[in-house]
Amino acid sequence: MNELTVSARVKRVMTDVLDLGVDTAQLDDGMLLYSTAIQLDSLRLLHLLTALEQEFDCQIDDEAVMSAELTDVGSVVALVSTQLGQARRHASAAEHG
Amino acid sequence: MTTVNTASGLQVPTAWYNILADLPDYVPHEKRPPTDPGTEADGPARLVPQLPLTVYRQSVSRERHIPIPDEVLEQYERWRPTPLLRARAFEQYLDTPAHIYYKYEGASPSGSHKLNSALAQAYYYSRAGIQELATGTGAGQWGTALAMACRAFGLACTVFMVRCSYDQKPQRRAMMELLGARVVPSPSTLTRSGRKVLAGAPDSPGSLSIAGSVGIQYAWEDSARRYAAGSAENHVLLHQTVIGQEAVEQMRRLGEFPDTVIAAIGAGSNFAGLAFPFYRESLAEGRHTELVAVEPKACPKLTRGRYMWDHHDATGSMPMSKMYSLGHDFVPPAIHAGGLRYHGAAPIVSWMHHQKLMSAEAYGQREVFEAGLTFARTEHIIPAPESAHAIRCVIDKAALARKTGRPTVILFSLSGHGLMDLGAYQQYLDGTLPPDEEFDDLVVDPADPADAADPADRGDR
Repeated sequence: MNELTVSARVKRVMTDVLDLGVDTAQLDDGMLLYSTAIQLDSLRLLHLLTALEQEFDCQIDDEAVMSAELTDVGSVVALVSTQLGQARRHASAAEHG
Repeated sequence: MTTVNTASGLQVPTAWYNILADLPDYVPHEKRPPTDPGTEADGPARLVPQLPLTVYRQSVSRERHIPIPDEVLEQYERWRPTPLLRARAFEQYLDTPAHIYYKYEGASPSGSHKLNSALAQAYYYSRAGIQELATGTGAGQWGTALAMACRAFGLACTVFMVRCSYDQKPQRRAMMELLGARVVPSPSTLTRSGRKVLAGAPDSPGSLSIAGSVGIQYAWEDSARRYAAGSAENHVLLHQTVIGQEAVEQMRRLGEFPDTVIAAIGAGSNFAGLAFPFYRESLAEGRHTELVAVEPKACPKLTRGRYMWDHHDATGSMPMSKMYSLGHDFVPPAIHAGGLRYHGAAPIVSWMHHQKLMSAEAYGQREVFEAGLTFARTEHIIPAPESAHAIRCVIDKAALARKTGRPTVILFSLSGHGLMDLGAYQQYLDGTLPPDEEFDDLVVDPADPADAADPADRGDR
């Protein structure tokens, strides 16, 4: 699973779950979450994150969410990518440990 | 023997019961108001979740049972299970054939049921890296519980206490400060929303919705700080279900099952805690149990409010919920049951009331204190004024059982002791409580701040 794939999947989930009415390709990493196009708020953010957990079959860490600088689309992609990387490392450690 | 203690040998439940798994239809969840997309005008520039993601998952989950973390369970085991007792002397005094039982949450270290959710929330917030919790409290039961829970999990705690309760119950403030919390009367000049209220009403007695606004704005000022709510939210109701789960097992051991379950309602956590597991049990066993929420006439959200989208706090800083409400700017009279002075009912409880899966009763302050006094003189436990509302309703149900001769089993929640409310009882004894009639003329005309038929009723599932 490469970064591009993660990014595209995150954006697809954002488009669907937030009912943005735009093409996924139009979601630029730099688009602000508060922008009129996305209009995300802290409550819908949590809803989005649970949808991303389902998409990637993972559980996002509470502390990572609380401390994340979630300002734009790219920051959500980065949060998910980091969580998936950590999950892979934990799985690998468990396999070899 | 006047009582039967059924707690011995009983295990603390290892999972919370989630009623959303058993309700026949979808209950609308929270939403932002249509006019507020969540800009930084009233909040922080970056998106800052107020809830740990785990707690949000709990609030929208459709799993019937949600495991209680070991760390929380260890805390619960310090005093749970709480006793379920039969009020035989009270029955004899009422000359009723009804069997009257009560679940005594006053046995908790904080003196009320509130600790059940406070501990869970403090645990999740501390695990999420948060260092301080802020909150609003009415009579001080939630504030005391949160102060205690923050202490247990190494968090700082700031409590905004509704001003009339702050003045009425100075020992509550001492109790919270003794546990390490900072206690600030609300409205307070500490935040913009508090200053705004005071500018319009310098002598405002405050309300839970104002304290909520002040608390959440205070929490916004520091990224390591969050606002913890203790009454209406789905996850709060969930955490309280240890009460009813224990009671179901305790009643089973006695070979009884309640025809009626009664609990006072502020927003709904006490009611939900006892009643929801009996709703489940009634479904599973094909029985009918009447669920009754009891509120003050001075704050009659279920009996006189409207089912509508409204805010949980006075300034609309929090999301909106579909709930029975008197309007988020409603300031109730300064009755002594401060924990019940909340303008709205929890979304799940509101939905159940709207679907007629439960009922509600309202009583005046004097008749409630009379009931509390009667209970204290027969059962020798002084109930919190909030709990005395349930007792007042029990008296009516017991009288009905006497009239019909029907062998009724009544279970009610004695959600807290009244040892911090002796000043109020003294006023009752001295005859200086205001007459109940003044609440009959209470002006209740909640404006609907949003379209009740909003498509968001379908919500985020």
